[in-house]
Amino acid sequence: MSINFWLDLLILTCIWAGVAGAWNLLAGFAGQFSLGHAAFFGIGAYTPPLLAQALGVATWFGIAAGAALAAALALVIAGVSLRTRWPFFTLITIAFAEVVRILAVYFKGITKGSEGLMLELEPGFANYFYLDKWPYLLLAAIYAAGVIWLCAVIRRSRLGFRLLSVREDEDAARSLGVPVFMARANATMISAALAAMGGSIFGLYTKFVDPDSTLSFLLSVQPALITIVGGLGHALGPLLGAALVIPIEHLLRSWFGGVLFGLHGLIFGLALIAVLLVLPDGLVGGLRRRRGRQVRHA
Amino acid sequence: MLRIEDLAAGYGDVRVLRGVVLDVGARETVSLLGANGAGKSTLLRAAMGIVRSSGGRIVFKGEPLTGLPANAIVERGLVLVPEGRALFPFMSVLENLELGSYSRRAKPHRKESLDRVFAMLPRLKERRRQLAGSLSGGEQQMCAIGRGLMAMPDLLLLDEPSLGLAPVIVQEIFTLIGRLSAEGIAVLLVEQHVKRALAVADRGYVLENGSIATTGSGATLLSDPALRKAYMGQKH
Amino acid sequence: MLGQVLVSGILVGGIYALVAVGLNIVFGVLRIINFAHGEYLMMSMYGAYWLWRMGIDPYLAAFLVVPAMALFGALSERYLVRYTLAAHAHVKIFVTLGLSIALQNLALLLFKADYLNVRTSYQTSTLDLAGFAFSVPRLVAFGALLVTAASLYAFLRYTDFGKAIRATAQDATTARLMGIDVERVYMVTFAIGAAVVGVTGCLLIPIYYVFPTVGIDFVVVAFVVVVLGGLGSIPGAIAGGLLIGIVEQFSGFFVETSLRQVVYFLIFIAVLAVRPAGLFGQRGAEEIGLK
Ligand SMILES: Nc1ncnc2c1ncn2[C@@H]1O[C@H](COP(=O)(O)OP(=O)(O)OP(=O)(O)O)[C@@H](O)[C@H]1O
Ligand SMILES: [Mg+2]
Repeated sequence: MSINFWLDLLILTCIWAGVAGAWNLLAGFAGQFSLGHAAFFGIGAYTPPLLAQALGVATWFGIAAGAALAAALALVIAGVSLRTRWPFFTLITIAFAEVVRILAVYFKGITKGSEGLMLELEPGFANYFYLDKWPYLLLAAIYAAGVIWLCAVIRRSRLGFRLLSVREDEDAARSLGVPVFMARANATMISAALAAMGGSIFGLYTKFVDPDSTLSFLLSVQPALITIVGGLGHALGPLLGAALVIPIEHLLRSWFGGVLFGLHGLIFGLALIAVLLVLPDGLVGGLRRRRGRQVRHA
Repeated sequence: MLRIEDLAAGYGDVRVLRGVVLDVGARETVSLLGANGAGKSTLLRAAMGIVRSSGGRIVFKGEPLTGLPANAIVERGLVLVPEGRALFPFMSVLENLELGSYSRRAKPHRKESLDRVFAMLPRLKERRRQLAGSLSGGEQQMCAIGRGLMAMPDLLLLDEPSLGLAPVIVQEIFTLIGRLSAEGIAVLLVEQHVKRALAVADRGYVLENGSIATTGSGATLLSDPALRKAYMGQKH
Repeated sequence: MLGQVLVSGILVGGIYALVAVGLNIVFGVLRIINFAHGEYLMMSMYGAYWLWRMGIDPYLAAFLVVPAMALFGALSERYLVRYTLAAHAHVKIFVTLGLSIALQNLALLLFKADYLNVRTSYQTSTLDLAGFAFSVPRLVAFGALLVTAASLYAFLRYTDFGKAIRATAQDATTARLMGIDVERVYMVTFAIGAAVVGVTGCLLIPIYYVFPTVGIDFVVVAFVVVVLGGLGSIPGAIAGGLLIGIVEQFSGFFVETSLRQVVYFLIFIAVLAVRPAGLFGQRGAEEIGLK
């Protein structure tokens, strides 16, 4: 297979490792299971080209604006779900993401609707627009490493400590004076901004943004699947998960995608169930348990 | 009636009970005492099959209970009124009581049981339409005991029925417990009110660090150093 | 004109309420989020469709589809959901999501993405009552809603097993101490929920097309209705369904159909933000099983 095939695989693995890392920050650390990260991802993907079109600003501004916009939406989500408990947070995130998707399809004048946007920007660093794949690998790798590093830092910070206490027992945390809402809102906003950056890179790389490839519900499931496969709540889980899931998906799609419609999704669903039942704490958890057992044997 | 032999139990990797030996005879009232965290509730839960035991035997009316789920144990006449009442808060008092007689064993006698419980605990009759979650603490405890009685137990396990209640109500509850053996019901009572518990009981056990430290009649136990140790600082 | 819109709002709402009643017994009463609920509906509709192809009227098909769905519901609880009951929150959420994705794609694999529908004699007939036109299949669905809802309400409220279901939702360990076979409660509740969906599927197939993702559209509305009406409340599900149906038909005047779902989602979000107990739910009861 050509070098481009492998580059493509690597770039997507890095992007998804980063987005999954962002999801893990919220789900793994704070115990808040979002199924709406497609909204953040999509906002990230749409904002740079739309801003470039409208105002002619460079991509970097667009990426920052997309992250800010996603964080603002996250704040609204956190505010709305203030009075509810975990499964409702999940349902609320689904609702918000669907609203964003439907609006993106509806406002054709701005987004071109389901037809999608082709990205045609001035090549160069200011727009990070290249015909070659290598610069995108660099950017995606920096992004993934940055997210994972940030998650590791947050985990050891005061915010991380608060998030874990909220995850373990929200009521106890509240009665001990942990500012539950603030901690949750911060985590949701950081997670959203990071996911949006992943969406921006994805859009720049594919040079095409449409609701199906950046806003669909399956894109909200994707970071969850990756993280759960890798290891929920472990900083390295998303990377491991992406390194396994993305290549497998790629292969499945290239084998069956055109021929047997649905087989790819069927395997996706069954794999999700199998992983959850067999390895509920993912690869990282599985490896740790294994090591623990060996130590005890010795 | 209930015989526990060499019982070991715990949560996950944490051992709470080891080598517990205890028995309760028919119509007997027995108190189980011990410091906070000694494992009293764990012992009752293990007897009901809610906590898995990892060793030993629990025999009830001559049959081993090992491996049975709680709902099957209830069918045999062993019933627990759990610590903290555990009523169904969004159901009425009457519904809670009716659920007490859900078992096949008790269901056919629901009407008589209900009359009997209402006679013993008239407050419940007044409040039967009220949601259990909106009862006062004392009423909730009455409801929990009433619900336990609805199951027609041969042996009733009571876990700290007087917890957090005013002295008048505590007195009422102990009076009620005293009447149970006359009704043919054996009782295993976990309590913090040591003197009262031993006064109402025929015998007592002291649980210390997960095993039985002493056993004997009320008078012997009251002067026992193990009991004093368990309740050091308590003026009883 | 407005009266006719109201009539069709009520009839559409009846269908939403019917789907919501099925969801309510598992999600509202038992507090288990089964993402595959919509796929149960999809399966029921395909079942009714294929039986129609074999010459069986959709309404008669219910006698086969309902037991089959009850069995499928029981099996999916016994061999899937049960393993998640004591597991971490993420396992609970994502196992049924995996089932939903798998079933949708299985349908896609088997039946392609085609929109299929049945043809019956009564499909387009209407009844004139008080000057308004009532579509016959929708009227039948509405009648079935009332019967199903009333029997479920009585079942949950007055029978011992109904009380056992509610008790299990509030506190499974204590329910066991009452002598309730909690595993059986879960399995039977799933069977009942799926059976109601089976009824719904047979009533919907003369009205709507079936395709692999048809469940999503309905289950989305059903979640909105259950939350709006109040978790676990059957009257709430009916009121919520009718309300959404009426709002939908009237808003059809003002917003485009493609924005219809936005309206649902906004109602859903607003209810959870302002009054999580919903219209008819007991205050505080929305947190049952979640603390
Ligand atoms: N669900 C649980 N998981 C883990 N450990 C537990 C659990 N329940 C109790 N324990 C531990 O088991 C030990 C015994 O607890 P148990 O509730 O049996 O004590 P107890 O004698 O009833 O105390 P108290 O008088 O305070 O009710 C304690 O150290 C407690 O922390
Ligand atoms: Mg205790």
